Amino acid sequence: MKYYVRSGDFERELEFERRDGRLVVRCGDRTLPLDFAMIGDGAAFSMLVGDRVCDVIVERNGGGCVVQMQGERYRLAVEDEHERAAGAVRPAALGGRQSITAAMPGAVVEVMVEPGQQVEAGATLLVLEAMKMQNPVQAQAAGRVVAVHVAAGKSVAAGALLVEIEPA
Amino acid sequence: VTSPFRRLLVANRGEIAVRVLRTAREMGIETVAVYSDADRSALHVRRADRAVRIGPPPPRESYLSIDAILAAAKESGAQAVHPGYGFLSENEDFAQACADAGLVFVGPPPAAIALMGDKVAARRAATQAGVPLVPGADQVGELHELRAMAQRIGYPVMLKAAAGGGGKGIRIVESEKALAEAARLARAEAANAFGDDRVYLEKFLVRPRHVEIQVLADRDGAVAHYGERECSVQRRHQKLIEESPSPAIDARTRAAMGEAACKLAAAVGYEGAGTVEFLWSEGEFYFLEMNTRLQVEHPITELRYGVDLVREQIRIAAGEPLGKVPEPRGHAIEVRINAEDPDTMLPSLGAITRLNLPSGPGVRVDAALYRGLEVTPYYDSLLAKLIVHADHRDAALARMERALRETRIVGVETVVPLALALVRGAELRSGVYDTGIVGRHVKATDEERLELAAIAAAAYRFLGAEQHAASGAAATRAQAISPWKLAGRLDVLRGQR
Repeated sequence: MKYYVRSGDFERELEFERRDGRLVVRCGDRTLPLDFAMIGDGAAFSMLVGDRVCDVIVERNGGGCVVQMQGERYRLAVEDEHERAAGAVRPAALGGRQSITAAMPGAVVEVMVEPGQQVEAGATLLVLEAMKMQNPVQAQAAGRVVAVHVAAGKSVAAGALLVEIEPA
Repeated sequence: VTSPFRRLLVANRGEIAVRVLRTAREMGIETVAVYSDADRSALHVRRADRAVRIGPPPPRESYLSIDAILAAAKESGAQAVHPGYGFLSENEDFAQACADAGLVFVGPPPAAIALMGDKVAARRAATQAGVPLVPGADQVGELHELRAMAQRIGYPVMLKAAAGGGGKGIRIVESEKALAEAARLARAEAANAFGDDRVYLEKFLVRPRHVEIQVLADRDGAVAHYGERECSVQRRHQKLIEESPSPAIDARTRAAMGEAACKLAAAVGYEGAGTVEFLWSEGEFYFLEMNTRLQVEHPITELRYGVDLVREQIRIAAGEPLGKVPEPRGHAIEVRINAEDPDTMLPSLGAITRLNLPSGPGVRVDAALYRGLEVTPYYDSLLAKLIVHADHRDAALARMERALRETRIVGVETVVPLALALVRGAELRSGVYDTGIVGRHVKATDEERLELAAIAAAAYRFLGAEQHAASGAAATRAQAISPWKLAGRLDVLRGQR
């Protein structure tokens, strides 16, 4: 089975197969034995690529994985050959309506806009407080506010839809 | 050895509460923890001799409630109160209320807290003590006044909370256009954090370094300093990496800064442990503020000087005289591990599901972490402090890199990847850096390591899919893999060898 792993400009095609029950990975013109030993309960692994030792934590995250490896962290998009063929992982739509969401859980301190209002790029839409910091939430591009889903004093979860803006 | 107090209440939570409890225990002092409902299972509660509930999770109703903490002290029979850092540690009303209730406050007298806590009054005191200041406003102003002052000293300027500290309420303003909005946000943040919305304004220095001096003063007026800490690696005005000694400071400057810090402490009738913060820019140093409490980064001083600053605080509070300042040795570095996304630097909440903290030669970890801990939005995002000590700076940097690579915290995002990249980076290693270092940091990609991570991610998917196929289930590729099934499958695989 082939996998395509991407992170920014980096992409690798990796093919896994079993040879006499042993796992090998093909990466470019190299074929390396792979030993992926689980440590504990399912997210932590001791990986041996050839004789190269790597302690990793792998967690699924949407269409990809987050890999923690000896103090480093990588966000990777992973597709298998079927998914790639089906074009399952599409880039997010560009332009159009802006859905402003909460990047973190917090409390809405103040809402500066109302539906119908025109806003400039970078305009502060509302102020969200989290961990004692007041964070202005800003419009990414100019447009007209079509919906405000929160009010001052309300708590919001991470990812909650706050404000929607249409191109002017 | 007789203990100065029989029972000490620690009016704090998290790693600093655990830190204080440890020394108290070593001194033979009984310890009392206080906790909000969010912290019933916290380590500082479990490590204390006694614990008293002080209210619901919001700090205003628990760790910031003077009444609740005094009631807890009375109920538990404590004789002294250690405030830690943050919360009520720099609140003169609290220090006074402790005294009025017959409790020893482990910290400076209320008047010294009040004077240094009002940043405007502190600047005046520094001027009188002959300590150099950053050009700026010595009075708190309304918007039109701020605007006029900013024009006079020139942009960029910094807005700061008059009652501030810990980086809260600080805004850099690049131009007059941004002043009104920045002032409004700084005021709101200041009001919320300190209950005081006054802000003042200061010249923004070129490539400044943040260097601070640790002082100790006793009741008889003796003052001594314990060298400097370099705290220029900051993001959002919050310190991330600290080291001692500072690579920028020579012996002459160190002596001058130490003398200035001691003069200021003496001038304000200081007692206990305090830190005088300076900005260092182009060979000159300027007084920034004095923190009238133990600093988060105090362990690097402890490792270099072989001193326990909490023990010194407690001894001084009991009326004992200052000890002799030992000769400092080697180089110490601290990394603050905060629960935040290393790319966006936004707070990350969740439960700690996996935890491996580093150890080994020259490594100290101050933390209140345990597996299962819920990181809540109520409190500071500091999870742990990694502190290393070695004979010289290069060895300390190598040791910190090693310790960071051993650190594994799963369940919340942490700044470990960012700290590791900075510690490995050329700028920090050169020693020539300033408070802009994090902003300039460019994420470098090591293709070889990225490839290993890619192999791990794909192998995880491949083995999951293999397991799925083997179990005969419909191959729904998007479905998450059960770790238990995967574990079983991997056990089988390993058994086949």
